[in-house]
Amino acid sequence: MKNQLRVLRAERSWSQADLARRAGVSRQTINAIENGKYDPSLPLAFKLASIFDRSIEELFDSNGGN
Amino acid sequence: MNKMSSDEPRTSRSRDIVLGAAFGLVIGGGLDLLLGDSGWGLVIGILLGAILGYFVKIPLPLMEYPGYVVRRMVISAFLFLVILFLSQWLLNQELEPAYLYLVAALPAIPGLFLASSIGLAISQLDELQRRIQLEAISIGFGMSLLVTMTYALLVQVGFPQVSWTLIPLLMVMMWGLGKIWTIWKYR
Repeated sequence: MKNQLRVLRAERSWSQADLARRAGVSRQTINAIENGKYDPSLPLAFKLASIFDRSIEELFDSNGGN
Repeated sequence: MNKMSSDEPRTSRSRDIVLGAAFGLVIGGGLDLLLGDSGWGLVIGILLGAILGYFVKIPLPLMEYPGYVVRRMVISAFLFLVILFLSQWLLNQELEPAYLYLVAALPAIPGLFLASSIGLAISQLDELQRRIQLEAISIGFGMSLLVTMTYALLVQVGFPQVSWTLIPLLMVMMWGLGKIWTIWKYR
């Protein structure tokens, strides 16, 4: 699933580790989501959306493939 | 596609030494069986693995666990090895037959502690890491089943019998290989 995670993270000058700390997951997980290798669970998707103050639809594109 | 780039965590030498020693432990276990269960295979494997870890930077993105979880895993693994050695040493002494079963099964107690430590470590992981572990354990189980079943069939037509203690070593090795493959898959 395509997502805006990398773009939004770059806008804030956060590293993957910074975002991982905020979301309470590993940097490996953030990396996998950004690369489209892993689709997060609903609770994690909500948490990421909340961190960036966006809706889930704005963060994730359900029509996009990897 | 951008892979692990500037955010790639640097591996530490102590982690590489522990990883090398763990790898050496598995290889050494097989070597030990070839050397006649003397215990030297394990010692040689652990030492060579630790030396390898000291000199070679292992570029493997491993899972990070809280410090107390790592300490508990290291202590329980150490206890398991000590009790295993002690048990094997005692079995070579002149023991009363009544104690033989007890001494032979003694490593199961620290083994239980080790298994609970691994369970605790997995419970600390996030959702992707748990999926990786689940896939790795599934691969390890499936491959071990395939290898042991195939070998059992080959024994029927003349392959040499091997020690049962190779099976847990095989399972650990397959779990490790499954984990490496799954980690790379999600990079």
